[in-house]
Amino acid sequence: MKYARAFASSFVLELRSLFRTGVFAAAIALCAAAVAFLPPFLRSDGTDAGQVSIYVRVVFGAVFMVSGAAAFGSACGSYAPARGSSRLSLDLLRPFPPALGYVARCLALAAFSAAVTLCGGAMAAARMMVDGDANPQGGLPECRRMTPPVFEKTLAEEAEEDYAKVLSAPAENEDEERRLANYRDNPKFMVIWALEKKAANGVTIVSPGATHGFRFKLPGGPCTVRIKCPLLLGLRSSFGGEFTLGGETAKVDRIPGSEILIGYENPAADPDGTAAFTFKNGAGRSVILRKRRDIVLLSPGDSFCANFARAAISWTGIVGLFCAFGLMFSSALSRPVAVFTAAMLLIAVMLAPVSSSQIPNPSTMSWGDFIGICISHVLAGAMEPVYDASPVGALADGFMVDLAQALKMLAAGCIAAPAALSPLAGSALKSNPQE
Amino acid sequence: MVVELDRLTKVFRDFWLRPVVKAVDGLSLSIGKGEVFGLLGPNGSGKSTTVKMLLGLLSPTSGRVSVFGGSPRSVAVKARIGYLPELSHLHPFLTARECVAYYAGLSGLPRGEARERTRQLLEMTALSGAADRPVSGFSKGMARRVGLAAALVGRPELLVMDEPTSGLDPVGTRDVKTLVRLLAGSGVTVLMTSHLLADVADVCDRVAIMSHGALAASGKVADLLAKTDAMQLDLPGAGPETAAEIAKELSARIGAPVTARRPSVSLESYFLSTVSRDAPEFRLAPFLQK
Repeated sequence: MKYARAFASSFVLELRSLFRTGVFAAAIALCAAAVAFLPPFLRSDGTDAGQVSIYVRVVFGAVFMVSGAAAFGSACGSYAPARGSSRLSLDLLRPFPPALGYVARCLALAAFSAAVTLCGGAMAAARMMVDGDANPQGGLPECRRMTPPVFEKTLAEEAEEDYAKVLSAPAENEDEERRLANYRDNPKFMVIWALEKKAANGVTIVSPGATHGFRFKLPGGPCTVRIKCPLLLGLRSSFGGEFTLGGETAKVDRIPGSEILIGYENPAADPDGTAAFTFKNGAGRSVILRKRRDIVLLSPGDSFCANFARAAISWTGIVGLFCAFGLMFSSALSRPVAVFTAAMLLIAVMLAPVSSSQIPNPSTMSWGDFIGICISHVLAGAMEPVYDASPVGALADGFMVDLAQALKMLAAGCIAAPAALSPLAGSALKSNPQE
Repeated sequence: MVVELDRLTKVFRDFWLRPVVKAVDGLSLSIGKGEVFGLLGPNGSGKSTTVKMLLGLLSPTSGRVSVFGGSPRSVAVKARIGYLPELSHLHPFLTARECVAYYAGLSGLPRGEARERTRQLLEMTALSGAADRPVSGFSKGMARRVGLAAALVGRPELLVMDEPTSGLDPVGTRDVKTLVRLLAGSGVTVLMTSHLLADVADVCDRVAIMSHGALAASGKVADLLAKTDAMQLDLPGAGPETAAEIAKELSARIGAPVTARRPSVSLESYFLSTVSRDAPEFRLAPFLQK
């Protein structure tokens, strides 16, 4: 409580600067431009659902992007211009730790981002309600709750099993020899981590006429199973078969598109609340399914507005996290260097998952590659929750954003990250650039 | 003692840590409670560096800084210091009232008290009429007054002023000098640096003159400025003839020429008496008088 007033003053100052220097107006104008001018350029797959999906993905995605970029850019330039000048000196001479001022500013930037997201989202939703280009059915779509199948083994257990299998089996060719070397020469946790990622994308092949089973925890009432076959786009026309859930069977044939939705009225659950789902491949060719990604159970969720609110919470957490870094760079570096460093960090974070599927091994790769891939691993590992919390995909697909995960992201981005970085930022602010 | 500097030295170094310049060289001085102390010196003499070390904005290379018996970087000491920098880099998007209220908030004042102190200070600095205008449109003198209000809002026991009268008109300068004397009278210690030596001479009890980072002279203003080999007589009501006769007699007595001339007031005094004849007397904000 001792510093509450000073904390509030710093928070309000940052918000005032964002509103009065025109950043908020500019961000809202960009959101309005996205809502006004992007829809005519959007081309969907011809279905109403596809039209809504692409509208939400692009227009709401633009709103998220604008709110994030405005807050992140402002964070990178927040302290930098005042470093070493009497303006910052006057703040530092007050009986208030600069680290707390940094946290207050982080929170203000996150609040600003949330305000832009909500205003932009309201504009985008309003257009969706009245404009047939955005939503041919009018109104706002409802979202669905997504439940993944229940698996016997966790990702970690599958990874452990794979690890033991490779180490115990003799290598029979050069590729297997290299893989074995990668497993042997690296710390086990690193290999396991890579194998977990592999297991997350693990595929199941269902041959023609064969049956494959999954289990779902049933929510009760009507539900829908969604199966996507992104790996078999060429087989769209013949993808089909018998799909049984809790005793209800549906036969589907010649599905246009790579996604099948099978509705069930009231499937029966076993005493443990789960039910078996079986898929008998009725197509003439094998179907390849990423078992942890391509098959989910959908049940009624709630309104689009409630889902957007959860997505905004999640996004605010992500923006808060990046603002914490941007503001820290701003407290230690001049504005151009802070912006450059922050941009590099952002690019590295976005690219990290691409190269982090490789296992780094100095004996089989150059030192440059080795160091780069190690950095990718660290970044991808640290940012994994952020990738998972990114809400645009779920919003566009009409899936419920998980409130618990959104709140966790908010807490991580707006409380934990600023608190963790505040000692560094505080020290940087106290150090005079003349020294 | 409120401020004690003991063999304070500051060497600025380049990126490779090679010494570039010795800005302050073994400076020792002390300032007592309620004193008005002037730190003088030409450009580059080390005044600003000394002030920054005293405020905890720069770390000394060697030597010791003590303010109120502690480190100027401690939160408890900071709560007792007010600072008016030479350039008033105010947040341009704030109004004068918001600006002062912001620093009141950073000082941890409760909302009601912050609002009341802000009102009193804006009144004291003659900014009440412009309190709700953005400071970006203020003249240099108005910005200085906002800076002064911000420096005083925490009711400091030590006020450090860098060129406090820079940019102010003669009326504003007079008000600042009056303010300094009133603050000193209420027990506030004031340290000021200035190039305007007349201002320093008017308000300071003691001065220190720095040259090339070292202390060149220090002492009471009256002692430093006094001519020890001559005396001055004031003859109120005397006409030119009477003065000439007395001068002649004195010249004969001391064996040296004595001159008599009519005394004049300074241009500043004449200006002030002309333009501010009806101006209200400068008053300290009530919360500063307590």
